[in-house]
Order: sequence, then structure tokens, then C-alpha cells
Amino acid sequence: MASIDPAAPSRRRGKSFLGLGVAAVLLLVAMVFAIRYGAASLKLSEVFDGLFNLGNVFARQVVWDIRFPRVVVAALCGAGLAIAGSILQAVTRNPLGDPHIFGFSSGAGVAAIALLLLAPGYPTGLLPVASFLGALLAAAIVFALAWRGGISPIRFALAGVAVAALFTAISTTLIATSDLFTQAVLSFLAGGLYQVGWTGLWTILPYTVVAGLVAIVIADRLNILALGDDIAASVGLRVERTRLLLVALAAILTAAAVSVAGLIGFVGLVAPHVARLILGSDERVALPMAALLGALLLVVADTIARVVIAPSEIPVGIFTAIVGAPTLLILVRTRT
Amino acid sequence: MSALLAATGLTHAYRQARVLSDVSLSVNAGEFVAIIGANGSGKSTLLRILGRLLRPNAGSVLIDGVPLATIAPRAFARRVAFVPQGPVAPGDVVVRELVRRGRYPHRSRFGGSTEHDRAAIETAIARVGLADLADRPMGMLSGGERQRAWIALALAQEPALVLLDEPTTFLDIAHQLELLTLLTRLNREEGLTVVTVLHDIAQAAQHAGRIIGLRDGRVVADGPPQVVVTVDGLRALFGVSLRVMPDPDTGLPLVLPHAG
Repeated sequence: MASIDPAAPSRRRGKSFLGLGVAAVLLLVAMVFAIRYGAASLKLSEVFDGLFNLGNVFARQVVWDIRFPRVVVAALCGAGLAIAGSILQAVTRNPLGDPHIFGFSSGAGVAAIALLLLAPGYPTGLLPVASFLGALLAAAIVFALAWRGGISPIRFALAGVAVAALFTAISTTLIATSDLFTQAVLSFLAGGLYQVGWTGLWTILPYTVVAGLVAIVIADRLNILALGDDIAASVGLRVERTRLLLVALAAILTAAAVSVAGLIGFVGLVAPHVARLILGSDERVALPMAALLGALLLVVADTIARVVIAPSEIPVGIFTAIVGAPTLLILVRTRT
Repeated sequence: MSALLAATGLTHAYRQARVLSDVSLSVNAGEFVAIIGANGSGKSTLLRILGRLLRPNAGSVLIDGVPLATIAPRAFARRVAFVPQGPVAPGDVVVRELVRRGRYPHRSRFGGSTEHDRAAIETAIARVGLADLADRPMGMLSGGERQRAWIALALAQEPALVLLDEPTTFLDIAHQLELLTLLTRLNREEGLTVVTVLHDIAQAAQHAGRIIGLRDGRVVADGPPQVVVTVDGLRALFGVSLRVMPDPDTGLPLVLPHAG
């Protein structure tokens, strides 16, 4: 028999706040370093000079006009993909849940490529719109395919994987049968934040912030869904309506991310697992933690992608995998 | 006085196969009812309909005289709790956190937990005898302790009625007895109404005040154990002859698993 320990719940809460605080500080530090390094590296003083407009015109241009919005977009995309991944893992009760694996991103890919091929002279503002709609459409198709008087988690997962395979095949066919192949297609498919600036930031900010905050506020419903549909329904949760709301949030977050950053894989898969391995499965803390870690991962990966062969860039997806995979493996082997 | 729960004309089929035919029953506050029957007799289906997890093809269920379909899910969850067969929780969830989730029907939509929530959680944990293990993760509990934690989750809903689907299935004989004793105590001492599907007729006869027997989706027996659990009654329910004799101490029927 274990003895009664009245301090245990508050100790757990303390650990959660500490974990979230450390992750937030790490994210801020990473963002400062991300602004500092690039094709031209700055001094820390120049970073703050540029951020707060203290008189250095060169620093202002590099920091405020170029790097700051890009770094914030990286953080927003990373956080959004991580929350989307957390939601899809919870809704399908499947550890492989991820907006990429379940075809949401592939829908964006098909839409973007179709636009590039059918309307080569499209206005530049249209690519984000097309990919945003493509991601939402793919999510709607997955949901519709999984519906039969209700969503079963396994049907949703399988429908997602099937849609991902189908849309990827369509994308590949479109590319292979067309001689028109631009740098734009390639960089979209590889994913990256090349030339993303203030326009991109304002485009996704409202979607990511609103959908992300709603997800964090209702995170406790993920906890209830985790106990199975019968328990969830018997404590009065409207299971199907909740799942629809959650999937819609995941779709919006994914659509916003892919519309500016292209197809970035792995963040949505790895960040939720790392968060749960550190803080446990309670989504009230694991979900915000996943958002912070997803943001951190993408900011770090994007910085590496910019710096390694500057002034050229390497697709960021390579580094989300290079940084994320070992982190996940180390945690899985040491903490489970 | 109207019954706590009243079902009329429940009929249900999965695809073509009919599993319930015109089942009617009512349960009064304070009863301990066991539903027995052979595999496929429709007992789980009946329980799921009563627990609002399944909508019947035909028929109606009233709770406190109000049609089930007109009650909001959370209001229903404050009157009726359901403990499914073999539920699974993430292994790192501690007992107190599991039980907290049973407070969902009482919480305002975005509000935090109140003093009463916290008290209800501790009370529920104490009622199932897990106070010493409240901070232990579910993954580190024995099967019997885990099942009691799920019952505490149901109690945290502060329901008048708890429905259980074969709660003793994965337990050894000692933990089966412990669990049924717990349910009997909650029923007798705290007035909780219990309706449980039980596989074991002998257990049903020893603990339930009333037994409902289903065969092929119909109620074929309904009454106290001495009336339902007889050689003829069990032959009608299960199609085999079993030996039945009265317990020398209590007079309740004992069932022996061989032909008499």
C-alpha cells in the first residue's frame, strides 16, 4: 500500500508549469538566435537594435523587414502543425496521427500544383489561397469517407492514409506529365519558408492564433476522448460533434501552415509525442507543450536550413527530421 | 411515483439481425438489478440503449418520466453513469485525474473546477476504497483496483443510476467478490440504483435483488433470484439443465455448473 501523499497533485502541476516555462524560454532564445544568424550574421546588439528600431538602418532592414516575420511564421507553423498532430492522434487514438500522414497536406499539394500548371501566370497571392482550400478539402474528404453514422477512429486513420496516397499520386502524375516545372513547385513540395515575410505572417496569424487557442481551451475534451467513446458519451460529451470540431481545427491549422510554408512533414508527428513523454498524457498541458515544441523545432530547423549553405537554402523538412527524429528516439528509449 | 427508468417496446437490429424484440422494463430507485442471458441474447445491447449509447430502432426510454431523447447529454450524465466492459485509460493517468474526468457533466463549459468538484472527486475515490492509491497511475494498478477506479469515475458524476456491462469479466474470483460487495454496499447503504449485466448467474443470484433474464432479445424472466434462478428458469434461459439448491445460510439459490 502506498502512503497518502497530499503534495503529489501540486507537485505534478509544478512540474508541468516548469516544463512549459522552460520550453517557452527556449523558444524565445531560439527565435533571437534565428534572427541573428543567416546570410549575414548580426551581433546580439544589432538584433535588439533592429527589433526596437534604435537607429541602425541596416539592422532594421535585415531584422524587421526580413528575419523577424519569417521567424514568427516558422513558430506559428510549427505550433499549428503540432496542435493539429496532437488532435489527430487523439481523435484516431493512433500514435501515427499527423496532418501529413492523413492527407491534409497532400490536398494542399494537389491544389498548389494544379494551380501552377493550369494557370501559370497566376497572381502571387493565389498560391496560399489554393493550398489553404486544398488542405480543407482533403480534410473534409477524409471526414466524409470515415463517416458512417459516426466516425470510428480506425476508419478515420485508414481513410486519411488512403487520401494521402491518392493525392500524392495525383500530384506526381501532374508533375510527371507536364514539362512545365518551376522552382515554385519544387520548393512548395519540399517545404520551406524561403522569402516568407510580413504578408505571409498576416495571412496565417488570425487562423493559427484563433484555432490554436480554441484547441488549447478545449484540450480537456481530448482527455475525455482518450478514455474511449463509451466513457466519453456517458459523461455527456457529444462525441461526434466534438470530433468534427477538433478535426476542423486541425484542418485550419494545417491549411494555414502549408499555405505559407509548403509541405513540412514530421513536426505534427514528433512534437506531440515529445510533449507527452516529458509532461505526461494530460492534454491540458501536453497540448500547449506540443505547440511550444513544434514552434521550437521549426524555428531551429529553419535557421539551420538558412545557415548551412548560405546564401542558398536547404528544404526545412530535412532538418525537422534530422533534429526531431533523434530527439524522439532518445525519449522513447529512455522514458518508456 | 414514477419509475426512475422505464423502457417500453425496445426493438433493435444490427443490419438484418434482430437482437432485441419488444423489451419493456422499469427500474425503481434503490433497486439492484442483474441482467442475465446467454451470449448474443441482447443484454449488452439493452444496457447500451438504457445508457443512451445506442438509439433503438423502436421503443422509448423514460428517465424520471422524461423521454431520453429530449434530455441534453450532460443532464443525462448527471442522472445515469455507464461503466463499459474493459475500458482502457492511458497508463500514466493517476486515479484522481481519471475520476476528475467524471466531473465533466457538472462543469460550466469553460469554467475551472469548483470546491464541490474537488470534494466529489475525493468522495468518489473514498467510496470505492482507493484513497491510498489516488496518486497512483492506472498502469500500476491491479485489475480489481483499476475496475474500482472506473466505478469511482462513474460515482463522480453523482448519478442516481449506474449501469455496468459485465464488470467482473477480467477479474479473478477474489476481486469479483470484492467488486460485487462494493456494488451491494453502494446500493444498500447509499441508495445507488444499480443495473448490471452479469455473466455469472450464481453471482447474480447472490447479490442482485432482482434478475432479468433475456433470451433471443426478449425478456423471459423478471423477478427476485428465488423465482428466476430455478432449474426450469435456467433451462428456459440457457437451454441446459443445471443443479440449483438453496444456500443453507441465506436461502438464496446456488447454481452448480453441472447437470442436476
